[in-house]
Amino acid sequence: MSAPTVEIHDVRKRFGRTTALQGVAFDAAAGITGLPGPNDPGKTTLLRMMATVLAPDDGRLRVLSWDPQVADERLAIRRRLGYMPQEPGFHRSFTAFEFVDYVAILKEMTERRARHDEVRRVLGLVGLDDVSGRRIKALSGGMRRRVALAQSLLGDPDLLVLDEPTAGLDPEQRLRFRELVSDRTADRTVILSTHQTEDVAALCQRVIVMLDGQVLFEGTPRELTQVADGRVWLADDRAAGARLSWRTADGAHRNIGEAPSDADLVAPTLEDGYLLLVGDRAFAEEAA
Amino acid sequence: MAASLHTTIDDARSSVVPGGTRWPRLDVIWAIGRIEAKQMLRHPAFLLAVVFALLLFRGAIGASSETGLVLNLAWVVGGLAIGTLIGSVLTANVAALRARRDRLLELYGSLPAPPESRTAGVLLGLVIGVGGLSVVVGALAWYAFERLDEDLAAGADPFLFGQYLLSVVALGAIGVAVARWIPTVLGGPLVVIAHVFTGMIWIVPWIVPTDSGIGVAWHLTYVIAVIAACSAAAFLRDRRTIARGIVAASAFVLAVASAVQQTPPGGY
Repeated sequence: MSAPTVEIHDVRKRFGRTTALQGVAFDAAAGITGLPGPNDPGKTTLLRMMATVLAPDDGRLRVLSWDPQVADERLAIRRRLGYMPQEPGFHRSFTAFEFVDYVAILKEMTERRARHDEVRRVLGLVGLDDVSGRRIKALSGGMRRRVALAQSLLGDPDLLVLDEPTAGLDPEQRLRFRELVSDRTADRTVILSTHQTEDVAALCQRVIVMLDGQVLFEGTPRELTQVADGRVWLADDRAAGARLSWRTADGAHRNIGEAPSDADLVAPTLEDGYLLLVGDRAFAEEAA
Repeated sequence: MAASLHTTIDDARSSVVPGGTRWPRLDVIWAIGRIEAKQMLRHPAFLLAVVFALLLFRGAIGASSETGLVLNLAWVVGGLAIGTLIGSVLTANVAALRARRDRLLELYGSLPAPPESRTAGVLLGLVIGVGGLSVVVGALAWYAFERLDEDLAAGADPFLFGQYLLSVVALGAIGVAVARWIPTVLGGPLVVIAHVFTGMIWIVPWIVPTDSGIGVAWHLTYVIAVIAACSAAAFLRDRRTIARGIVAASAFVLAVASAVQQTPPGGY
């Protein structure tokens, strides 16, 4: 792994009596790091910290080699950061162009012609050039999400923090998103939080699985998939040792769990690995 | 638990976004100001205030038996003048409230320009947008007063013109300060209602003819001090520093002192 772009050491965060992060530690380097899983407050809190909008209670965080706790270094991070929040807001009376242009100004792009060219470029990247003059309140949910993605791409940032960027996108738009993110050069870093495990499998070089404010797994997509090696099989019915089981289109049951010795094993997917990892943890807690 | 935590985070969000830099950049403020000027002038709150005031004046003057160019200009000019004064409060309030109302504080907090850039941009937009329109309205009024009626010509003076322009900016600055400290969409309308219906407007008026006996210099000082106090109060909300607190308090004290000093003996 190349030099880390994001370094997180024993980071903790509480909101009142609720613990969002309890001693999280991992590094992320150039490439795409995925955080799969459902909407998790800890995951979102961590992304907000990387985006410099939230400070940890304890622990050490370095982003692009700078410390976000130091004002000057925080500013340096913000100048090289693209951030798409989980619930992006919009000025609904603005057109898509006006909104992205406004964000571009706040990114200190003040030379008008160059800024407008950049706004047109990012709107083109997300396929919104045709509707850039339309007011945001008239755009569909998927289009609005693409506007939010477009603003994060302004200035081709070194670090892109994307919280659920594919939520609400149709399959074609999701494929386009994959194309867009994977096209970024190798020296850029993307932190991608998503509940779509297919996106993680298709895009990410590294995977971090978080649960209850802790890192449950850190490795490659292949390693996460290997968690389910020998634990996915097909049967006529739901098997006794299966944690999860569903009927597939051809009528057979796909079972995930502790396979019997004579099971008809099939190749696992990253989703199987994820489900088993999270399920194992829940199972262990239940047993305890 | 997740939902309640999200709510907690949302509630705390605006106060936890750490600042990036101490001073906003002038080129950023200028660029925001240009956009805000356009947004303020085309905002429905501003347009409705102007239309409402025009209709009010049209109704009042239309009841007269006299007709003609002077009266037609009078209701247009009067309506536009009052409309820009009311509209200034409302549209500046909405503009200053927009980032919070549209849930953009988190995104904007991750950008290099500090929140003061947006506050300064709104104030600049107020000056070049609504203020610019007021110059046109004022010029139109002056033309109407000077050229069309001798009686009215006597009332046209630079002091009246200056008061109107400064009052438009002052009322807008009040709208911005209210948005920063009372972040609700009702803030702007409440300021207008409170201003008119509590009699405040008659105690310390904005626009007063010279022959009323008012202390001209003190009155202008008063309006400028209101602009300074409200602007400083808005910046104080962005980041609380002792220097900003001193500026806001000093401007407030000056506004009160000049409000008292401007009043002629025995009242207006």
